[in-house]
Amino acid sequence: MATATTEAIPWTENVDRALAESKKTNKPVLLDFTAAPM
Amino acid sequence: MYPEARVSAFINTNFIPVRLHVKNHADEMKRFGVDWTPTVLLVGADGKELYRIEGFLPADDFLGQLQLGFGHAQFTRGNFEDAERQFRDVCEKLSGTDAAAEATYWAGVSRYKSSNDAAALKATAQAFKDRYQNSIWAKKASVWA
Repeated sequence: MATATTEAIPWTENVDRALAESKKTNKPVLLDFTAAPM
Repeated sequence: MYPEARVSAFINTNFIPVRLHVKNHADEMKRFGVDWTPTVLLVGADGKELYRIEGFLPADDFLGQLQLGFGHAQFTRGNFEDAERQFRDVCEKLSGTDAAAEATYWAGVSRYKSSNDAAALKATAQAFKDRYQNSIWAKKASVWA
């Protein structure tokens, strides 16, 4: 049986750098505000 | 929810991911008007909020909300055919989630915006007679019947 492999998510904590990347790639920024251990 | 392969793959394909812990990022919480966690925001390159997801959701529901948000991002940019494709995908693949009723509504609106044909709205109202009859989205679409 095939099993889906989870991809690691390349999280960053730098909002402004992510917004600049968004401008270049045209992808929206996903901001995950969490209280869970990181 | 992030250990789910479908969720992480969707995020990696469609978004620039930023994770901010409440204890270390009070300034960012204030900047984006976040008062509770977990909160996920989708924002454009200008920092303008496109979609907000508050509170924990199981994987299917969370994925549905992410897809709705991505569809709304396309809609906001005027990419109505891409938006409709995204909303229809929620209707087909995540039909058991709360997102599906909302996606049904917005798929119809996206079709109308791309075609300027009011039949798209009428068809959407008709679709709500078969599914999600008790949802608020069915009530909103009822005016198109």
